[in-house]
Amino acid sequence: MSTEHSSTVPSPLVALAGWVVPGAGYMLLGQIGRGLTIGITILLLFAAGLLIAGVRVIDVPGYDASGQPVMVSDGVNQHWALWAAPLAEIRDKPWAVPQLLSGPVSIAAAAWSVYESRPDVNTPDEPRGAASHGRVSEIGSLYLSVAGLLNLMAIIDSSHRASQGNP
Amino acid sequence: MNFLADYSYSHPFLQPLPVWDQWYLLMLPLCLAVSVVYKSIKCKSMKKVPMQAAIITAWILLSFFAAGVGLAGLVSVVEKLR
Repeated sequence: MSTEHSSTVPSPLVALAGWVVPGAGYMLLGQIGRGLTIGITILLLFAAGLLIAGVRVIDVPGYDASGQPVMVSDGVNQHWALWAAPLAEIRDKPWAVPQLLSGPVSIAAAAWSVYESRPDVNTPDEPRGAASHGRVSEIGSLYLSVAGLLNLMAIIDSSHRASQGNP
Repeated sequence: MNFLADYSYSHPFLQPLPVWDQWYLLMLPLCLAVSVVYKSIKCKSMKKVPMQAAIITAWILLSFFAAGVGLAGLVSVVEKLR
């Protein structure tokens, strides 16, 4: 008779939960302490990246430095660059890929970055938020990207545990 | 002319943090976070995580320091040879 403890949570659901809320995959498996430790650490790292370099450190594919959609022309019509040439747009802003792995929080931060890149009503010549440059910008990007990559590691591990029936 | 001297930090998250002279200190929270997540995944018991994470953080920082000293030594040797 097998005494192994088996998980009833499907591994794709665990992976999805881990992306939506970092650490939530472990919590679905009943590992609350592990999930909370990993989730809080990843979210703190993400917030630290935004604090260090400012929200405009997020370079959002499909938008330019002034927060306007990047458009490309096929000779007749204008198309949004992210739809017309998604790979080229993402290749120009590769940090966006690991940052996206942090989950919806990264999408919300990207939307915030676009908003803060646009000019303020009171100061039409200046964006709302200040852009960072040099080392501070690099370190901020690194924090955000490492947060996403750590979440990827957690997603893979939690879904593997679910597939092995080893919560 | 020093533009950075005029920098006033008043809006967290909307402005970069004025840490350009202390950038190397930002390595510590990054190493700590990597260690905590890595050891939380690796260790069977979460009770072991704080000590294990502290040890691996120290190792990462020591390795960075050793790599920095090594590269600085290499640069000084190359400069002398030129």
